[in-house]
Amino acid sequence: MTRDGLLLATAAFAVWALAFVALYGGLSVGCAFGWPAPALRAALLLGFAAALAAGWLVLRRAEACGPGARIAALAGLGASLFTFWPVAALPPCG
Amino acid sequence: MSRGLRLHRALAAVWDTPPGWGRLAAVNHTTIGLRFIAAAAAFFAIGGILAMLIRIQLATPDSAFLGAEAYNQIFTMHGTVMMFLFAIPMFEGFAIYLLPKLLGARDMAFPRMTAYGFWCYVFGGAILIGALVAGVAPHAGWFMYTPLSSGTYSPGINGDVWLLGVTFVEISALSAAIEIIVSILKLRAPGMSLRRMPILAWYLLVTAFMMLFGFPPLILGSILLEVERAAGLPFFDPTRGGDPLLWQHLFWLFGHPEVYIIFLPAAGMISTLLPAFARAELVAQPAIVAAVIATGFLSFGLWVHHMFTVGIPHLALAFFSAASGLVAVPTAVQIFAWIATLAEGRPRWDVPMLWLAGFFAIFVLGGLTGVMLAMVPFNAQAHDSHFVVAHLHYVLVGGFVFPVIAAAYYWLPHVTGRVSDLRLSAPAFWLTFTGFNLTFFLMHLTGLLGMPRRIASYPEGLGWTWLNLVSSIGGFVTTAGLALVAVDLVVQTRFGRRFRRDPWKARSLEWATPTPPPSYAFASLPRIEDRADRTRPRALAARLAAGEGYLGHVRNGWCETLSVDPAGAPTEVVVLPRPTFLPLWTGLATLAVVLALLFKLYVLAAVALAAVVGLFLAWTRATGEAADLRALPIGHGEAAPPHWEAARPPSWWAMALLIAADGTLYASLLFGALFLWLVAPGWPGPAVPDPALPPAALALAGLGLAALAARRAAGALRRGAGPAPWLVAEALGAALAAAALAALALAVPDPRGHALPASMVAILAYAAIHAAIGAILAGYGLARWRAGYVSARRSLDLRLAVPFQAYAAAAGALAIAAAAALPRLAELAP
Repeated sequence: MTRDGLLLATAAFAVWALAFVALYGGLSVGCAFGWPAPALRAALLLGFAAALAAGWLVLRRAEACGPGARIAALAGLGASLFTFWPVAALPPCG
Repeated sequence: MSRGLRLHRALAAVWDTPPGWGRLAAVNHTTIGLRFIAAAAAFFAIGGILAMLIRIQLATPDSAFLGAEAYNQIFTMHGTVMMFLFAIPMFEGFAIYLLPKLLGARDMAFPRMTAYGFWCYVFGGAILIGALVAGVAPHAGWFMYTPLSSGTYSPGINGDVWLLGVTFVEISALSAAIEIIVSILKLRAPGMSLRRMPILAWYLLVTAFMMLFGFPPLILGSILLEVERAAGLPFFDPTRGGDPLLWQHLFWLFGHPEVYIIFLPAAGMISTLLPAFARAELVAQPAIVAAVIATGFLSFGLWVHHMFTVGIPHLALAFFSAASGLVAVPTAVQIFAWIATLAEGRPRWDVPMLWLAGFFAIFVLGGLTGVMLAMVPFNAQAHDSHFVVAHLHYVLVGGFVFPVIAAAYYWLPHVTGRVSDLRLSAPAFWLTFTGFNLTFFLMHLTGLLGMPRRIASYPEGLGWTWLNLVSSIGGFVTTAGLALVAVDLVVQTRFGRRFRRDPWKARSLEWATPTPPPSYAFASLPRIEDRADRTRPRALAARLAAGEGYLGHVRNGWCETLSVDPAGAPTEVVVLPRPTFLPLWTGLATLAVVLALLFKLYVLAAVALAAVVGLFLAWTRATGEAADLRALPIGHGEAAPPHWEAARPPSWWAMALLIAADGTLYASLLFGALFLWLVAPGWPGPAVPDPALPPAALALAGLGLAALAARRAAGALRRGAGPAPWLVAEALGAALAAAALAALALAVPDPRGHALPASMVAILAYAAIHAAIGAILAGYGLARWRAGYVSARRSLDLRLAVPFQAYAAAAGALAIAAAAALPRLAELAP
């Protein structure tokens, strides 16, 4: 893996980690303050969509950086999809 | 005399550790790595004896073998010893011993830090074991949950022993993490680009980064709990605005990555050993690298699965449950790649392979129960039961102990220069394997039948009796097996048959050193033209020993190795320190700080801390030169400057990484304050006034001046002007800021009364300490300038202060903003 490949492989999961912090933090604050469920869910869905979009951008840039970076970028995007899809299915503060 | 022999003698004269008492001055990676391994093995034996005591106690119902208090100390110490004094240091020992040899370097990047880390580890471990012998060992479980571990319920020094002893050991782990990262990123053989690095280096790189970001939350938690116990500032006390859940978050933010910090190096060893025995290249190496990076990140998103039953919204549980299940995927990628490597090659069976087969069986079972525990409904049922104990032993023993024993058999010929007839090895394996499964497989059932962990005794008639008895018998069978392994390794070391080179026909670079390895590892450094796991050690070794590689000479009595850029081009000659007692003295002074804190002798602690700072500054007297040397010949017609004349030498990277770890600790502290604000009972708490304007303004001005002056000092030096006025300004600014921030912290009213003012004091004290360190750095720069070690080319000493002062300024500004914002936020607390 080249230096750029390493950075992009890291970026793919950094997107996941940042999304994790934002969604978990947003959820905790929203629930603690009793924000209306539809508004909180909309905000979380927005965050989820942003994570997927950022992951997809990283994947596009990683295409040119060898198999290691490409696999990591794909895995990062998949991790975001798999970890955060419950925002679309579960009530935020139940 | 041949050229090779002349070179060997010349190199040995500068690299060898002196005999006798001089052995205590060792800084060499081979020596220190082996000492780490030996000490970790000794602690493993202690942890094993404690495990036997536990199994005797639980073998029969209503056992009177140990009292509850002694049992509590023993199970707490078993976990603590195995996690902090065995697993991490054992991996560090392997990494320190192997990394330079795998990378084609002569030593680690900071040999004195290696030695200091070793002393911190041994002294910290000695405090813990000493407390056990004295009957005052920690007794609140290896994860020290509050409020059980708080002063109210653990009033003796037992808890302090854990908090201070483990933090002491963690200094060693953090210094090792920084050293491993810098060594991998900088000290590779010429031509070894990142793409060509050996697979174990990838594993160790990711592991070290995980340590860098994983350990600070626990260090912070330990400091806060110790401050609560010793000074009464409430962070975890729910009656004064604290929350025990904050401890759980901080602990498991470290604790879950810790599992992978232990597993990944072992997995790296497997990825190194398997190709040698499969006689094939590792299959899907890019996918494995991606999987290792994925594991590194994902392991930070699982910590709440240790807290599924504490009451967290279902959606948040879903995140953590999904991430906990997901982490099985990169692990499975590695396991399938290993199986594919075996399928691709022509495997030959040998003792290390026996232990790897044991690893496959045990670790996969542990992984599967891990996926079960990742599911919230099952976790709620099995939580805190012996099922969890069985699971964690399958993962940690399967994922670490078995691969490490395989690795010990694999690399022992490298250490000793001898191979064994291995007659004891097979029975040792089968005893261990059978005993382990007898102990822990049945423990799943004991747990499913409802037996909680950590109970000192249990009544008859619950269906647990025969399971516990068989588990205990299995425990002793395991011990017999492991004792036989120890005997086997000693026999091999003492009586094994000598061999010429590379007995496993491996293709990695460490086998190109002589065996046993000399202190300098390579007489000259190789040039790597292909992947580093495709070398031909036998042919390469002769050329390197004859001095045909890079740095095939001794110059000025220096210990030299090369630093490279990401593409593998040499960038500088790194001059490493020779043996010195300073790491030992510094370690002893640090021990004095810890003991003084333990016995609440705070004046003595302050004096010892000053001694630690003074000794660290004394380390620098042996570094650098008082004249510009410019490019030095390195062989093959190439040249490179010494590291103190280079733009970004290893110490520059170390400073960047130190700031990253430090920033993680600060972020954890800020998170802690916000967590308490959001979650803890008893908020908003008392009214706290805003920070007084004059000291706040002075602090901001001082921090800004220090940061600006640090940049200007380095800039003036580059232009050939004198940096002294700027260095004085830097020192004064930082000292002024430290005093003002300390005044702000001291002015916060009644920090013992509530977590709000306590958090403000902690944040401001953090900023004040950093400003004070900034002042010391500026003073150090001034002293180096006056001593003539600094010039336009030799500007490193001043440049190192630039990022630190910028960080201290940002941290200080944030602290003042937080101190102003927290009382206002508190009024809005939910």
